[in-house]
Amino acid sequence: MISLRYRNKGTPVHKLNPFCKLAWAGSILVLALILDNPLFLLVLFLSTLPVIKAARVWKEWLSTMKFTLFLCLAIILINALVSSHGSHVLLEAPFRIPIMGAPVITLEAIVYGVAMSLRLLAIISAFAILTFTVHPDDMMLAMIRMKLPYKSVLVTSLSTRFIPTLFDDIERITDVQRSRGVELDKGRLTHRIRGRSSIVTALLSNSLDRAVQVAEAMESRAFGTGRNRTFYKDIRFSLIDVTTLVFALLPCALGIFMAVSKYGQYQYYPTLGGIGLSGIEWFLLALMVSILSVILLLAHVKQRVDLD
Amino acid sequence: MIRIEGLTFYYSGATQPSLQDINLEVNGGEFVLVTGPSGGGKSSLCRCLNGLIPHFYGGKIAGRVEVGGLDTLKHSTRELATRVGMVFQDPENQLVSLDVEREIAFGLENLAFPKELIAKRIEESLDTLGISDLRYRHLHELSGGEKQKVAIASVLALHPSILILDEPTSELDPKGAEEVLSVVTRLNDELGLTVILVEHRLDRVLQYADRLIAFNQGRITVDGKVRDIMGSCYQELLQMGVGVPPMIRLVQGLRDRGISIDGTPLTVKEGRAMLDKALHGVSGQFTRSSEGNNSKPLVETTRLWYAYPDGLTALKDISLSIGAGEFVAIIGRNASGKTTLVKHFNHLLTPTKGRVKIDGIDTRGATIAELAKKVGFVFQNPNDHLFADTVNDEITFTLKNLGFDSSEIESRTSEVLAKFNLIEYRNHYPRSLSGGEKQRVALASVLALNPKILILDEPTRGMEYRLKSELMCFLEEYRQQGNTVILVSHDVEMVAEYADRVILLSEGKIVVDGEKHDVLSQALLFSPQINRLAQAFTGYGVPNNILTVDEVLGMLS
Amino acid sequence: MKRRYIFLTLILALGIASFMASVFSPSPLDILSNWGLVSTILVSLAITAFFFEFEEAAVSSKEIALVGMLGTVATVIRIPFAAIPSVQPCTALIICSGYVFGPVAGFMVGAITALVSNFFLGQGPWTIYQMFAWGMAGISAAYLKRFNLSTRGLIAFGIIWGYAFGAIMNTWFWASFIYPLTLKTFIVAQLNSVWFDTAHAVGTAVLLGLFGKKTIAILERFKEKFQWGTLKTDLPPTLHVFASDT
Repeated sequence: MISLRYRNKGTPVHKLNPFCKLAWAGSILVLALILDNPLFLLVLFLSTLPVIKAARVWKEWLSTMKFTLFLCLAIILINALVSSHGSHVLLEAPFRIPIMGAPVITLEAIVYGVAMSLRLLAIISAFAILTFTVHPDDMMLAMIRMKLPYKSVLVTSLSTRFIPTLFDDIERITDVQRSRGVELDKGRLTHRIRGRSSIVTALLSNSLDRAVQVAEAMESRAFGTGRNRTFYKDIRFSLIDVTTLVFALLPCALGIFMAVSKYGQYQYYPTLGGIGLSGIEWFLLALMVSILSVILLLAHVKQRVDLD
Repeated sequence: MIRIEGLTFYYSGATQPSLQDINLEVNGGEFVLVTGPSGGGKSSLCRCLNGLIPHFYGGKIAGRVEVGGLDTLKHSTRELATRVGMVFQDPENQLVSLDVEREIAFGLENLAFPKELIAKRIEESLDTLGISDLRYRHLHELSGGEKQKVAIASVLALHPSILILDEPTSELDPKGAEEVLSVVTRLNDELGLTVILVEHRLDRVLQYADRLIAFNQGRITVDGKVRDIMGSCYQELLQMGVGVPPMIRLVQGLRDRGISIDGTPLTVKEGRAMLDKALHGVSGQFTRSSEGNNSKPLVETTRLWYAYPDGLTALKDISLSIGAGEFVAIIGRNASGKTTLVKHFNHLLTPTKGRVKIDGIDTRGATIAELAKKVGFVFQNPNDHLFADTVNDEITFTLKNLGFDSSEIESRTSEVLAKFNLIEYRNHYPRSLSGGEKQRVALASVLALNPKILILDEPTRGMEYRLKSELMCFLEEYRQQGNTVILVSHDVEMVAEYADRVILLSEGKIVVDGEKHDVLSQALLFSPQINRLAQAFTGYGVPNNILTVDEVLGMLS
Repeated sequence: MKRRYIFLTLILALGIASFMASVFSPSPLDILSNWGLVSTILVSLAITAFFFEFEEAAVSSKEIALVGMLGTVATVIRIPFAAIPSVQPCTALIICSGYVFGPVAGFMVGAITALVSNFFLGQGPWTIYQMFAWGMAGISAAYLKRFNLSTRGLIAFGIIWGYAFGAIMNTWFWASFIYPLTLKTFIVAQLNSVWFDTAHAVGTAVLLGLFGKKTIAILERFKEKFQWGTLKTDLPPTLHVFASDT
């Protein structure tokens, strides 16, 4: 059966407060979108790896990355084909394409594509940590804490709750229909589509019946209209959690500072700028990496403290 | 505690009332057992008691319903939730959270209780139900019985004084049902909760209930102390199709034959004492209905092993042979491999080792569709079968899948519709039919192929008595025509009544395979009530392998 | 005070500011001309706005259970096919849901499908764009109802949303990873996934063509039952009539 990407492996990363992880991944997203110096982007991507390692989700991460590489390829190709701003021409096509004119492939465009691939890798890698180490339930608690409307969160949680149930339903209904001679993998395409639709139709009808019963049960347990409610479970913030949260948000602030003061930028067009960084940029890069890595340190501290 | 005066209710759009002129009073601490045929008004009554009718359902209502001093017309379901706790039939559909703790907190949160109080209530209700170990478990990992207990706990956390359970065990296996019912009786006994329990299977709860109410066609037809009713209104209950426990049928049967019995026993223990005199002279042999079957094997498995992809070995070295015209029941605990075994008979599953032959054909060489002409498979829930717009389409769908030509489809469909009394419904939407009619449509869609072998996987779970006997009579008739019926079931009473041969599975192995009297007698868990009763009288000459009421009565004449 | 106006104002202000920032570049507000960042914020704001709309519109457990269940069904039929990027049977179901149950329910079913299925497939910045895209598919389907579409209309609508979904996702891709952000590169970025989008469009159209009417009929049948309309004739004097009021 298809299951959640989340597995509780009990590592310090898994035990981190979900808010901190959300903030951390969010910071990386902002940084990745703001920075365009390839060195910064590379370092940003690399700084997600120790966390992946600490969370022991290498295998899952690798399978995600395989898929991402296709996207990277697309990024490089498109940038190479569409951008004619570069000055080092590597290849000039002898034909014209409507809209685009004759494609000119320049060194600058390829380097830009590679840098953007790093941007994508950093983002996907950071969010993979969320997917693999935060339980959907905790994600929803975080949504409630962020004052997102409760009913939307409830709908999401209800939906998540019924996924295993509906997978069981599908399995049963599929057995029923196969016993009645429906062939799912053989025969003409229209035949197969019809076979599948008989399953989906039964599933949909069953689920609508479930919806009435779920609503009845909710009413019976005092789910009334628009009044206040309390929340029993909550994400608790210890001192360490707050510290972690601050460190998870700092990179975001740093990113905005760099954007406003134009650090971490790089000139791609018309000719590539020098790869060398100014002193202050080296400092900012080091600062970024260290702040991003603090999360691991704090995760270990938290585990220690929780054990005591 | 509950007072109902002149209650009449129509669901919106309905022309027939679902409840008609109901007057009822229930005192605090009473244990009321509610029964009657489906569609008789049991569920509607439950919904009236916590205000789902009329606040959730709308419709037309007359009369007064007062629960714990609150008029349900004027107070919402939300307000009533702290007085009336409601547990529904399907545990799956009444749980809305991802884990047990949050599930129990849900109602309390809705009522805006402070955190500390919620924590206390959770602790309390987990303990009351004895499920503290489930606290942090995810709901989808729990068994049906456990889920139902969580549902009860989540309702109890609101501290209601009345607990209503609408067929809480009909989706559960016997073990789960047993656990849930014992919890319910304990709640009534120890905490003094008023309990209103809707149930089809009376034998497990009769002794605990103070009062029995039967509904039929929207009216209360029987109301009184359990023992009195079982003595006096027995015929009426039978006519309504209520499943009267076998021992009580025996007692009444004996009375009809002029044997006097003092009182009406509700438990086997009471039965032993009360029937002592009556069965004193009974001895000899009962007539066994079936003899050995020597016909050629239709289903044959040789050294069949099956392991699920996740590594769990579900079947171990199963060798058996089932002939034409046999009625075989496969019984066993949950997860003993019953369903896994029968799924091999139409190639839904392929053996990991060993082989399965159907009518001489190795299933490995045949597709499910090819086998479908020989093997019909009816699953537990008719809703899983039904997807078409009309009953007619539902039946022709199967025939079309298997490539019958249109004149053949036409004739077979008409034939099977007539056989199952479905002609008047042929253009109806199958899912809006009643439970019994749906079951008939599902059966018809399978039997339109005229299979020689019919497999039914727990067809009677949660079914009321009358529908059960209708189905069984049909299967009996079908078997008479030389076909084979294979039934997977938990329902020992029914197996004892109708099957000839019983196969008991445990942990994927065949423990016993033989004639039903040999398998089901003296087996503690798998013995029917009459057999358990008979054990006390073997000294008088009552055979120790007797199983049914008719067998006992047959020995008298 | 209507929350929706606050959100609308915010979205507009940010949009205009972002546009101005790119026109008057360079300026200290250059960060606002980072379209990848700004569009992510805009889309998040829009989704949150719809969530608040749902909070006010869906007053009862009925809508919540219904939307939750439809979202689950759409998710469950999405996940097995996710490995093939072009097959998205859930789009057709989301369109039917919006068509029958209206814009708010339609949006929620779409948004929930994206959010919940990504717990199984992987969350990322794309989640919010998918939530937005499917949500919009649900909303727009609700407005179709006025035109009482034939099957042919549904097919056309399926084709439109197959491509529109791709276009929304490509816009994210374009704004974040492509330079320069011009009309030309926008078109190329859109063409990038044209095969997948065509497959998505054709698939959705085929599903809507074959089963759209039937699915809508099932949902309509349910809606009729679910709303439990009031019966007003032949009332004996003692009978109270209730429309379900929760």
